[in-house]
Amino acid sequence: MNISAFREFELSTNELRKSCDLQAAGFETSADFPAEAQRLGQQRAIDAIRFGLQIHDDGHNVFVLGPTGSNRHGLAEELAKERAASESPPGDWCYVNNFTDPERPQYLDFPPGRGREFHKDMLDLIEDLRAAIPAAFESDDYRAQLKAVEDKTQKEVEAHAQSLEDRAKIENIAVLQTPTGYVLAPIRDGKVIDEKEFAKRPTEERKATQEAIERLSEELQTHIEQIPKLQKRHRERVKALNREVTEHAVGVSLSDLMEKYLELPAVVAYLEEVRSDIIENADEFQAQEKPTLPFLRRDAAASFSQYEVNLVVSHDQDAAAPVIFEPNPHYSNIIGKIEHRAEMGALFTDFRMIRPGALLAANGGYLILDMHRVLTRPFVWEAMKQALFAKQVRIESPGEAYGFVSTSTLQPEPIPLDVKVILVGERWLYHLLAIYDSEFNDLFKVAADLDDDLERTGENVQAYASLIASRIRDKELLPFGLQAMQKIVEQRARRADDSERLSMHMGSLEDLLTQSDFWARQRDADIVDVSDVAKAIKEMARRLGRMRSRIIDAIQRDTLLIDTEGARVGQVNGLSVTDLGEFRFGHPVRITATTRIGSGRVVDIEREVELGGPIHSKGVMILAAALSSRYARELPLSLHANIVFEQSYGGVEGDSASVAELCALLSSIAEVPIRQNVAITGSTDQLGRIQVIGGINEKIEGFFDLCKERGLDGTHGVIMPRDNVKHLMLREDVVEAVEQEQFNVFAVKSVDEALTLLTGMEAGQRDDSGEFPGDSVNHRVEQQLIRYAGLRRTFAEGSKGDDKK
Amino acid sequence: MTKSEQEPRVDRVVIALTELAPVRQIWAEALQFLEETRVDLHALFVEDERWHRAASLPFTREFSRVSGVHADFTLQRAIEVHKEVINRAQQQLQQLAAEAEHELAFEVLPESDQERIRDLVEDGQCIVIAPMVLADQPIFKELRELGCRMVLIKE
Repeated sequence: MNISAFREFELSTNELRKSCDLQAAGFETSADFPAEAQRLGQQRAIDAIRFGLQIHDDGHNVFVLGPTGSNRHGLAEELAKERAASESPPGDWCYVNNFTDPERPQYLDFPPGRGREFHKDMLDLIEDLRAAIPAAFESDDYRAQLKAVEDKTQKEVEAHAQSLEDRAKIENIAVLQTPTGYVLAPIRDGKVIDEKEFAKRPTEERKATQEAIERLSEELQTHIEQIPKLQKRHRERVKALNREVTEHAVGVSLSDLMEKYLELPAVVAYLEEVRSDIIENADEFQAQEKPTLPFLRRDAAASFSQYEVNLVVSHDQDAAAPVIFEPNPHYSNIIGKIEHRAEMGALFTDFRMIRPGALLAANGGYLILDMHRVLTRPFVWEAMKQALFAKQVRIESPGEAYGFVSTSTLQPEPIPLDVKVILVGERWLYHLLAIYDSEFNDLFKVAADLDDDLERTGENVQAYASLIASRIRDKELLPFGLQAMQKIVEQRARRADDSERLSMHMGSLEDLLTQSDFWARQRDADIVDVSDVAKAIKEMARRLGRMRSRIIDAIQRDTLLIDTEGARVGQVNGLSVTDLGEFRFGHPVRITATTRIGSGRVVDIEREVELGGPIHSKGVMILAAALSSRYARELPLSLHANIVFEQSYGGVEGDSASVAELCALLSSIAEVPIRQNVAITGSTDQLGRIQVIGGINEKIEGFFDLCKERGLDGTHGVIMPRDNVKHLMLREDVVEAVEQEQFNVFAVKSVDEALTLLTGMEAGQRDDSGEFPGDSVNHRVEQQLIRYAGLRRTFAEGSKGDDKK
Repeated sequence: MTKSEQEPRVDRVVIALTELAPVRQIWAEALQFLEETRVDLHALFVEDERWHRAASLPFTREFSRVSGVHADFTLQRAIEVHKEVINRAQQQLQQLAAEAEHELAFEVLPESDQERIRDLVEDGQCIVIAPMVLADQPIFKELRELGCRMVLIKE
């Protein structure tokens, strides 16, 4: 058959690439396009997010599903801010000392801005007290009162001692004071007498003296017991005096403050506690001499600091509900933390060192988090779920929360939580969590699934161009010419793998815009034109094209054997795509098939050596079914076939080579050679219909590049599924080669059409009697299979005869 | 506190102490004279032998001021108490003198050594500051008779 016979399968150049035409708008550059919000094509996701933000019910937090670069964060933040703008800012939160249990600081909540005001008021109060209390204690009035108390006590002590001394003196006994106690000694003429003198005394007198000393000893002990009581009474008097002085000093300031916060009962109650504590600990605030070693005594400044206020969250400057995005969601940044300070080698903390996390910062508003980061930071996910379930934030260290440490630390009172969490993540993360985390569905009931692409209608293209123009303006890039804009739109269709759709992956769009701008600036241009966009695309491919170049090089040097001319039995050029993330490329692979008589088994060698993936294996199994259904409906399939991807040393996955494999198989059975200047891609079903595959553009371009290297002669081409035509967005050079009849792209619907193109022979259709035409490929295949079946039967009968013998 | 006599010129200040003397009060009084001019400063601790006498009696006991527990008051304990009292008085006075940047001569004087006291007060213009308890000592009676200026501090 001549190549001209295949015209019916050839695609025209306008089918190979769908051009973009923005002329109708009448604009010259991107600067002329109107602004477009980044919400184009995401209405379903936008509605979902808005629904999630508006509904006030437990667990209706939002999960925004979409790939990286889909502007998922930007959209979530934009919509959250839009919603927050209609809401009032929430209140302020403070932590203050708990005077009855300092290890459990208590919170105070305030209307927005009043927390900061209270914080300042308390600092002012402390400043007042710091001056007023020591001044009160240093006043003449206080000193006079204290002296009166001391004198009173002194008199009581002296009176007590004097009465003892007086009684002792009557009996000629002196009460002597040693540094640590008392001694009772007999006296004469006011002087203590010694042993010699005592011995000179009459016996009765000596006896009486000793008895008197015994008696006075008991009284002395009673006196000693009284001293601590007198001292205690003295301390109580001093304390009462101090209380009175302190109360007078703090009374006015605290009363004014209480009046100021009268509408906040919790604050007034706290101020009452402050008053009681100051009065109770009045001694602490007196000016004291500095101790020799600073850590031995608590100074007054430290005592006053317990009345400070730790303002953990304030919204005094806000006009709307908060929208917080925490880019690094580790435990402390989300839940909060309790800091410590080192003093003399030991760690100390108090309520002033409680630090809030993003949950508290967003309390009363919206918190946006990247789910992948949340899951990769230890303890965060569980702690956050716990907070959302309990509707309160309990600030504690992870070690304490999980019982890893037993040292004593703070246990701040949990703060009530009312926050809407918006998680942003990949789809697979959402689905995994939905399946494996039973609590996830209870907390994140609203899924907002971002669309990957947008239908390429005329209206949408104009809107998309406006979106591109907006991004250009936002990023302050050079204006793009109309052709450059068209090229960008076409590239976005290429990115979507579909000429009828446009990719909504904003990250890659911005990359292309930025890089095009770069190349324009490199040539000192004022405007980005189509050549800059083309260069950006080309250079990006070049930067990532090392592996592609190595494969082409290996083929050119016959390290990888790929024929692009002649014809061979049982060998076909399939097409493969290698995906490197941001870059994909196609290249031909040599697929061969061998056949012999057998039991109807088609062996996929890739599968046998565990290099074939499950979908590839499924495709090969379908081949066996297709073979049976087409040629061996009334006789056993007596064939053994081996199919292999030659020189493939890595994994093979997908069924896009199943048509190529089937053609190689049929070529081998029919012993009909296959053209090597044509490559084929597509999957087949059991009935021989050809189905769509992915990466069609890269595959065609991969074979084109090789043929071009070797020299295009107009016979080269690629056979592809007809249903893939809508996905074609081929490079301009491929389209140009086709236009110049240097290269061909054929679209087929069935294996028979593919066979015709590959062999140059009629595939052949069964006639009314069910027979294939005699000179057709299918006839040859059928005859061979019948022959195999006959041979097999003969072998089987011979084998039975041998058994009988 | 009473001042029996006060003259403008003082060459020497003699501080007389006993075991129960209020050191700070006596020093505060002495300081008034020391501020006027640079004068010679002497501290005399007049020994009281009552501890030794009390300790010589076999039935004398010391009662703890804190707990009321008692123990025999032996001669050894009397010596300890005596030394401790002297040391404490000396340290206290020397610290006060150092703070006021004065040099202090400290002597321990048996109560019977009246001659030494007389030597000190007869040499130039002198003032004696002493606790009231010493006023009845024979030596102080004699000093008073000699016209020596004295300030007695009530304990």
